[in-house]
Amino acid sequence: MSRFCLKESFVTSETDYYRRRDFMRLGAVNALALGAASAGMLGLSSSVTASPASPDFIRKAKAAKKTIVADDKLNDFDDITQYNNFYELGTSKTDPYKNASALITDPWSVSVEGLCAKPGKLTLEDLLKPHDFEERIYRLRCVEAWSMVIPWMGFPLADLLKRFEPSTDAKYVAFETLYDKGRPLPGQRGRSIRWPYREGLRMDEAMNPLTFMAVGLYGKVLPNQNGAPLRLVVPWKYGFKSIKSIVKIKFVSEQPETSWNQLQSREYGFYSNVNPAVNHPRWSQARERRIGELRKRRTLMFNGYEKEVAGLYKGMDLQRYF
Amino acid sequence: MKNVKLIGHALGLLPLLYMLFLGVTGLGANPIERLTHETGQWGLILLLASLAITPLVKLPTSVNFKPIKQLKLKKVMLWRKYFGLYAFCYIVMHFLIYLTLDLSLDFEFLIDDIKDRPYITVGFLALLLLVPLAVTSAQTLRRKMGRHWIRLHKLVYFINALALLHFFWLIRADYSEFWWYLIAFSLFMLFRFVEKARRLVRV
Ligand code: HEM
Repeated sequence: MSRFCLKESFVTSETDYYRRRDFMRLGAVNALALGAASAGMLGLSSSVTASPASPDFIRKAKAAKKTIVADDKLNDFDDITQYNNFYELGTSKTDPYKNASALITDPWSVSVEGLCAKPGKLTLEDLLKPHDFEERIYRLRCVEAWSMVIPWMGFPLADLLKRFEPSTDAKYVAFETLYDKGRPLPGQRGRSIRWPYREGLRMDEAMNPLTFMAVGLYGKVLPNQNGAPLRLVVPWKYGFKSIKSIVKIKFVSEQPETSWNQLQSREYGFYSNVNPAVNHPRWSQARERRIGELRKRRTLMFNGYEKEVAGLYKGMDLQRYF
Repeated sequence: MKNVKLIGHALGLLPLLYMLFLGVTGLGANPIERLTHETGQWGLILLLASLAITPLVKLPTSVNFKPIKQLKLKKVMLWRKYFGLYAFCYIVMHFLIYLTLDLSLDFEFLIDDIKDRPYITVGFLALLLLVPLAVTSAQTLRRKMGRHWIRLHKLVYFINALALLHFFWLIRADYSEFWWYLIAFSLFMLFRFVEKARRLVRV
């Protein structure tokens, strides 16, 4: 029931939201940011840092159809935007929310490279233009054994990739997150990870209908701390595979280097499919804490998307290719 | 004397107040994780603080400077016990949160975790070793046990090392905090080695 009510509240909060963005553009940025920061410290505010929505975005967001739903109860907007792993903005869960304004998403461009017929550098606007938006409710399972249920807005990754006409030699797609050496983000000054953050998928994984490119959340522009302006969502894999704030897409023939795998290959595999039977060497993956729930619940194979994706791994030893 | 005691208790209770404050103002999206981290962190800090007392008292008093001598810093030595006991309390909370909310009181899970997860193994060992120290912390027992008491309580060094190892093994990428704890521990231990070496030379 509550799910149906939500749709209504989207619309109102959405308009509120755009109004607030306009207000900010009127030059009240500093006052508002200060107010938001102090209110944020008191835990009172649900304000977020995101770019203003373009008219094109607003039109598509209003037309977005719910294509995939889940029986799970949605996590609320505050939890989704104030509890994040986004090391570029700091290693603690609350850092990305606090440091969100350090990420500049306008202007933004994405460089498409490698084994394809139509490589090039696209502005965000050009990249988004041909794609209608849809809303999908996905479970997100973090490798740290917590999970959320999130209403993303965006389009299938396959639709985007096909535009560049990948060649038959392209067996994998590699992605990179923003990294400007001259102007690193707050978390990129430390060397917890070798920047830029890198991720990758096998071509058939990337083309799977579930694999999603998200540009919004709860019907709104994706907040910076959630990986604005565009991020991957691969719901049957641990969250770190869903790379945020993408600036580069490259078609390659060999399995690409991925950040967590580079850091600790024994602990984080290239595939990193959610699998309750394969524990992280240091903790169990059999159960997870759904944010908002007290007790842990059992983790599902492929995060509950077994029907859709098990075929991708037929014949593979998932203990070995974890 | 009274003031020294009072301040010691106040310091030991500060983390509890802080956690209560967090409880009122909001523990964030994952309150259980937050509480596990706060209790673990304050437990570790107090364990280290307990090791800090001896050098902090002995170094200034070894300087021949009257105003410092008059401070009667020796009484602060009492804080070793206070901090140790408060650390024990926070670590018991830490363990109970894990046992009830992470494991839902399933003792089979507990055995599995102790067997399979090195960071739990050493954390659990540290907790177990803290029990006899807490139990024998009373002054009367200390007198009764004499040299045995001292030998038993040398375990704190080992327990501190285990606690650091526990922390080290659960970090995923960001070791920056850990290095500070390790430096503190190393300095406190260095002081003890130097003292011991000096005593040996003098004999
Ligand atoms: C001397 C005893 C112990 C000390 C000083 C200690 C300290 C810590 C510290 C500092 C943390 C990390 C907090 C942070 O990330 O900010 C931690 C986390 C944790 N500890 Fe302990 N601990 C002790 C014993 C135990 C025991 C006995 C258990 C369970 C059997 C346990 C289970 C955990 C768990 C589950 C975590 C969270 C791990 C994670 O978030 O990945 N600890 N502890």
